[in-house]
Amino acid sequence: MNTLTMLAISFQPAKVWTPDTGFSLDGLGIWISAILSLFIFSFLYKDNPLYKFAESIFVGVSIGYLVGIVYHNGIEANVYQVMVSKLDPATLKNLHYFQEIKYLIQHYHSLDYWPLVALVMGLLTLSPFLTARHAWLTSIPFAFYMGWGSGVAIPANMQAAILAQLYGTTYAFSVVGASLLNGTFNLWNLLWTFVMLLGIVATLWYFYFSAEHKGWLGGGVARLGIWFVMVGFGAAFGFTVMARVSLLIGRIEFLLKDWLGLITY
Amino acid sequence: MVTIAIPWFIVLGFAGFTVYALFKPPLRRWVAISIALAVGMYMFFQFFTTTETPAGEYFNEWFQRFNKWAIIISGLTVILAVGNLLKIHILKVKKLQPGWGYSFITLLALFTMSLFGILGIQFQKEGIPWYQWTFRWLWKTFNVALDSSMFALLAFFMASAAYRAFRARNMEASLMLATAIIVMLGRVPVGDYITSAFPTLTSWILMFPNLAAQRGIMMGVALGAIATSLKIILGIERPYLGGAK
Amino acid sequence: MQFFERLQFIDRRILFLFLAAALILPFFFPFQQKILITQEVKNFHRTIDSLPEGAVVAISFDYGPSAMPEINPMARAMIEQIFQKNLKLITYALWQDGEPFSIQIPEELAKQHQKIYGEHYVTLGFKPGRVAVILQMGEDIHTAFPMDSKGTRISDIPLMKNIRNYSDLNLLIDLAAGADPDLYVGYAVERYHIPFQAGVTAVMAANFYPYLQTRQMKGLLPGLKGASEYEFMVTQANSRQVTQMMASQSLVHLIMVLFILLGNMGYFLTKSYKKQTQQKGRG
Repeated sequence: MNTLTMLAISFQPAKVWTPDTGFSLDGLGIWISAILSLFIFSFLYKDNPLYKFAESIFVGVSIGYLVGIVYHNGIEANVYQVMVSKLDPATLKNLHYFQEIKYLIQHYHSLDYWPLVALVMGLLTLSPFLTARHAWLTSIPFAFYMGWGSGVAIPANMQAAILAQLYGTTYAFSVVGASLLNGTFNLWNLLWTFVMLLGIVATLWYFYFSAEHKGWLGGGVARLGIWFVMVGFGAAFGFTVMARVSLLIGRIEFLLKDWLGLITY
Repeated sequence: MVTIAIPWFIVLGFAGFTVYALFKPPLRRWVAISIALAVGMYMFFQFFTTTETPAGEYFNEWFQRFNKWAIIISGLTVILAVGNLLKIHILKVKKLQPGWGYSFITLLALFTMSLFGILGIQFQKEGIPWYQWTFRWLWKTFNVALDSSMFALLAFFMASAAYRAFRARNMEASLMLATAIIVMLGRVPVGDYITSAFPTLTSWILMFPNLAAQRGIMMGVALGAIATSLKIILGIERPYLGGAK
Repeated sequence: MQFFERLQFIDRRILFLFLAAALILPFFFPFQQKILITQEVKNFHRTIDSLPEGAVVAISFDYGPSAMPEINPMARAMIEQIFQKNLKLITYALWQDGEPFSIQIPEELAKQHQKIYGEHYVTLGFKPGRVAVILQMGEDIHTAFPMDSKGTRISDIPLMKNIRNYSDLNLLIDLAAGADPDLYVGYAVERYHIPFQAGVTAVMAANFYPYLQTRQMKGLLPGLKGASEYEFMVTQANSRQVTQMMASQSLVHLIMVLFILLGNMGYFLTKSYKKQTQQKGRG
């Protein structure tokens, strides 16, 4: 470690109003964010109305954010803009709403109507809220989406998660073999590559529930499999701790630096 | 000719079938099942086609069209999320059930954010009306703070849970505990100051036993995903029917 | 209760106090630590470093505010390296919360490097659909993203005129808080053979090591540690922010390990004491 340096403590909280620049929306935003963060942290003491208040706002703004973003980036961009893609954007920009509708009707032959099929399908998801008799229509977009997703998932999973992984496992042995030929062979590399192969087989065997894991081979390999899985979970736990602590450090940094101005860099 | 007919059959055929099923209730579930079958099989077989022939190119054109429809439909499912939220919370406020105040706040936050979102999602404030950049300010002030804080809480609870529950009761728990401690110390510089074995062991754990376990799990999950996908395409499993058979 | 029994049941508020001290003190007493660069981070840096001038790199911002402290430093260092090497940059987001980062971080760094929007970098914004977008980008980016984040048709943007799909990109990077790298490997790398690497939160990092070994992923930045190593490689120094965060991280990890070891010590001593008491009772 290098020598410790003591930072001179300052106190410059975010300003909502200053005589020179007047009202600061950014300053107000920081104060609101800080207070809401403290409301959330109050849960550490116990569940309380301040936490519930912050939580309710969170649910509302999360979905509201999605609405705004999807409206512009999903519907406007992928439906409307695609429909009018053959028309001149400069002309469209200068037209007001009714003029725009009139222009679109006049140029109906230049419009791309395919996105409307998806728009209609997507709007069918609303059918349970509108009428119980036609609520079954909501299954159509979901059937399309799930069929589409399942169809693309089969080759992707087979290629990336099975064939490529099998190749990677055997490739590791060919790397060791190549090192034998070029004189860089290391017995430990061969040993650890065998450990890796054993681990993969043992893990797969452990998760295979169609046959009973008994006897010294069946039961033993399954036991070995659970040991490898435990090592994997231990590594995952170590990483998860790191991730969560990083988030907490990020929040503390916001409170100490942006809100209270106790640290400056 | 056949290649051109297939996607047209899927779209026009099923549009007609849907209209017919509107008048014949017993046929209704078959509309969804056959859409899933046709689209699923089309997307699966497309993987094996080439764009080096005119037929292959046409096949690919419809593959892209289905992708674009999937993009639009996944965006529109937000309507469902909003609809469900409105249904639950409006009912709570209407009937003045316990916690109706929090529901009112949720609805207020939802409407405010949605309204400003539709009005504009600009970043820069100069030269545009205030209601076109308010959405971004609301996101920065509310979403960022609340989202980060919610997850930051987990650090405390994780530490407390690890301290209480992490005991080396048997071989499996001991392995998990030992690995977690080695990785936790190996992934921070202070571990290297204690002993250089921590970062070395951490790298070894990640590249060999952890890799083996993750690969085994990955392959198992992939096999399960393939089986489930096949079941959905073939109509053996019908999650899109929402509980109806 | 015996002393060693109490070791297992220390009040969690005492643990919280120790954690809070470990978190806050390094902000006021920062200390520098030696950064050991791991192989996956070196590979990540080398993959970008080996690209020729004018090569096109696409970065997908698939994370939200909850992953901001870990991934934003990676994003900044990455774009810094890309602009230093005069590479072209395209950013977009498949998570709605990633959209602001995909726009603001490149714009901030572009100002520092005098890069021109539309010529040196483009921000395409967010698109819902994830897998659908990944697949469609492999066929035609212009139909996956008809407009950029500013509302301009991307066919009118100079940088995007010759970029139709993955085969026109030199490298694809995913900054992810979830399992999006799995989707990219399955739907982009295997199908369209685009070179790919990822910067991920530490929660997901352990899951992606198989992809490193099969070279489906060229490099990996795992969590804040990965961010600090990579930032050090790009800028030859760590920013004050990352230094202080790593210092807090080190102390918190140390305290957690100590408490876990204390709890286990109490468990084993209690177990041994009970065993001895039982044996004495029988004797």
